Amino acid sequence: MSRPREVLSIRGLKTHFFTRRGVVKAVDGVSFSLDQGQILGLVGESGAGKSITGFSILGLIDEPGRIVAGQIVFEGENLLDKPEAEMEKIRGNRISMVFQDPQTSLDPVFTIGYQISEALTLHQGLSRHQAHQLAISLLRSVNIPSPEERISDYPHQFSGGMRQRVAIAIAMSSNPALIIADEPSTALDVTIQAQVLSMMRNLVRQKQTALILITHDIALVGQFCDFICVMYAGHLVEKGPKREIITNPLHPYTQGLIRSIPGRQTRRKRLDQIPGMMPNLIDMPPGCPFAPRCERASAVCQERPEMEEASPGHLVACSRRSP
Amino acid sequence: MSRLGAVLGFRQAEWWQEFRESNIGLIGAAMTLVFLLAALLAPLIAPQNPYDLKQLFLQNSYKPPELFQTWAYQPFLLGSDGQGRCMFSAILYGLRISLYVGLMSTFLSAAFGTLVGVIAGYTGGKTDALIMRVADIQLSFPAILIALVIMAIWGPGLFKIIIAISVVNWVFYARTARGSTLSEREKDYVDSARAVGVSPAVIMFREILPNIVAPIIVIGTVRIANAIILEATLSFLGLGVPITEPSLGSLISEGYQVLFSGYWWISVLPGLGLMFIVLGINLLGDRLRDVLNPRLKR
Amino acid sequence: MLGYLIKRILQSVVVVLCVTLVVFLIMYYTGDPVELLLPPDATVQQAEQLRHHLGLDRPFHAQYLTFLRNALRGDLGTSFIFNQPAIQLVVERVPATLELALSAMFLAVLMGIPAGIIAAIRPKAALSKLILSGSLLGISLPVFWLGIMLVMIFSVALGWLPSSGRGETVIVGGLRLGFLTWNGFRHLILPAVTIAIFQLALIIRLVRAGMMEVLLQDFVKFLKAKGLSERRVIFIHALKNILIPVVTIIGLQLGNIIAFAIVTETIFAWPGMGKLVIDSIHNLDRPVVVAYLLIVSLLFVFLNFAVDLVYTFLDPRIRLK
Repeated sequence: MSRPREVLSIRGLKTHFFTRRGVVKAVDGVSFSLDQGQILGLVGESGAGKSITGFSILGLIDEPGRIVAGQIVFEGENLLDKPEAEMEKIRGNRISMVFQDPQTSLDPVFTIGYQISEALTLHQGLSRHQAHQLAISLLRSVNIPSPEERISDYPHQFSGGMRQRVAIAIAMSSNPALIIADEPSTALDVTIQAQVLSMMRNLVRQKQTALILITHDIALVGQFCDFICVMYAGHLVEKGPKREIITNPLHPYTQGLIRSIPGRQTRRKRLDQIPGMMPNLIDMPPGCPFAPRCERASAVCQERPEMEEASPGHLVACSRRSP
Repeated sequence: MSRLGAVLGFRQAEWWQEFRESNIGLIGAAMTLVFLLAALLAPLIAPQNPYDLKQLFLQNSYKPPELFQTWAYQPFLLGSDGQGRCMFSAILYGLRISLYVGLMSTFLSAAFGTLVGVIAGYTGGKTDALIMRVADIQLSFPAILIALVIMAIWGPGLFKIIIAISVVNWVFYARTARGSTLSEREKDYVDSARAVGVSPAVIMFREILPNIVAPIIVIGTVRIANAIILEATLSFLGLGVPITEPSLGSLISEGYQVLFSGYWWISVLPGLGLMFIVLGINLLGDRLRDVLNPRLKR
Repeated sequence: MLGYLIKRILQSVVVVLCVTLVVFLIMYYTGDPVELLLPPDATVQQAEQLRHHLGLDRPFHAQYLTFLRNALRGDLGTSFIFNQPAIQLVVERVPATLELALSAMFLAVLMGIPAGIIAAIRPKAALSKLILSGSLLGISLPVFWLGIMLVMIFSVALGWLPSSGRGETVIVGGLRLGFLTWNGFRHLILPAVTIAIFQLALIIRLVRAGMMEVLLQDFVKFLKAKGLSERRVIFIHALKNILIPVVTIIGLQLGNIIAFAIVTETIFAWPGMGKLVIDSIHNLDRPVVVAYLLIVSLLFVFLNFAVDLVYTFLDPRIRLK
């Protein structure tokens, strides 16, 4: 059996924002890689830097932010070396993104059909008629009923779940090698969430696309992903195959996250929470970012821990981990 | 909870910190302050009292500006008009009137408009619908027309023009106040006040009002420049302040009559004064608006 | 949609009626026409006779209805000064005012929208700062003073452009137009530019503010994530999004321009409605003032209605509710 192709390899990515109040190190040294057909879950609290990682891959970091270090190797090429014109050819074509809030991610004054066809004519050089037809079949593939009529409707005429499915249709339309899904189901009803995610998973398996699922919900990544990367305050603290991470979390933060899943509680009355809050990303103290909240923190945590392999494929950055 | 405190508490307030960063805003503030002071202190600093008929001699009329010939601070620094009035003094006093009308009418229309707007927003129902109907109808007509009609019927007068401009401008404040009241009304602190049994009037004034001051100030900075220009325009047309107490607009009108005789300073210089004060207010207002606008913060 | 249209039309009619009432009230309470018409030595009986003859002793609502009926017939009285039907005097001058207003707006839009876009997408560039400063200056300049300055520079000092009047006109399709002749065009330049500068500044600021707000929205990032070029994102997507409020403001400002034309026409002796009404106010020619108010109000109500229509048509969120 041939090894699946490596689609994406991020090494030492650092994205900083140079604001009036100081430097926000939103992403400060993140590395992971992904093969085709695999689903990687990027999990962490709000503000941990997950979305910024996603945007960095696509080169969509606006002022006052900048990618200051690292490599993003996609299909063998470093994206950070590419000029904007080439990146435009990759976005929406080889790498697609699905956004969090379906309410606000579609242009309200153009029809759905226009917004789908736009990408198709741009990247695949289809004629208007061809694009129109393809758009209809795309809508059908994401289970939008009566696509021929719906295609001339405007975003506000769709429900949230349907809009998200349209966004997924747009993302899949060019058969990308990589899809980045930024909290794709967070803004949706719980019932729709599962639908949308399993639909994504099926599409991914069918077309052997790689998927990065960005979310704060560790239960979700436990259900849908193959690999899990845990981020905290801009740093990657643990990563590895799903089964490993879920059954044998090594970093105190990951352990806290898993403990706080409702349903996985041991017989307690109160919901287990990780005490404290994520620190302000400006003026971060040196050393392990989780130390202030960690029950196992000690003097050695003053120095920033490196990612070390605990078992094959399972890496963790903690000086006080249980062996 | 109350932003009024934050707005008025200068040094610590974040908006002041941000405001200070832009040179333009500070320049605007400085300009406005200078002109305000000049207007306030006009009787003290003007080389001549242009209203005092005893000081006017026709032989002094139509003198061109002497600014570069004699550097002494004396009458006719900037020339004189047809009645022998020192232009510099006339401009100072005119500035005074222009600012007085602008500020008074803004204050009146803001007070009245905010009052009406808060009542409309808080009470809702028929009262709200009625008030907004009236406002909408008034808004479909240009301000200058309404003010023109009022002054045409009433005749020129200082008090009258203040009222006319206030009548024109109250709608803007009312609409903003109403909008803000509507969103504040849903907030928790209003609910709790209501639950405790505080009367509507007190809720409106003690709770809601301080929190909607920011957008009112924003509108005010736009409207005040408008009010000043409106008064100047009406006075230019002869339908504003009486010619015995000329504002900058009246002076410009006077100058326009004799423009082709070559007496340019009578219309150009008051106009410059008008332009600078309005510019100062606009710079100040622009910067204030950027700082107070929540939608531009990410 | 049709229901909404009908509702708006009815609303407009109501507004027009309100205006006629206000205008009539003004007429009713200001000045006694009898005094103006009679010689000073007339007796009280003669005054009473004239009053009765003119129907001025009838109850208020009866007079109002007569007024309304006459107005609908197009009879708004005769000018004291010109001795012609007041309504004719005003209507004759509408093309002149409209020519001025539309030229000014055209200029402002032509230059304002691109300038606003530039200022929004490259806020730190020198050109943008220049545009922004210029726009600030533009809205601080009193229109009438600007007109005077332009006359001073271009007419008196340089002698390039005429400073008053309309110049040659030709009649096209029943309308008297000036800009089609070179002479008429030259006369149009200064007054049109005077008005245009303020509007230009306004449009620049509007477009810039709107653009900056739109570009911060989520869907713009999504469009870029689809691989669309910046040019496409700005000139197709962002532009259409801000078009709606911009068009609305342009429509409303047109009304303002027509009203402010009073001042500009005075300065440039432009033979439009504005100059007529100011002269009539100073000459106490009441029928003309009344005719002006009614016609101009009708114009505004119509303009507002048209703007509403355009707004509804452009914004799919409202159109398809």
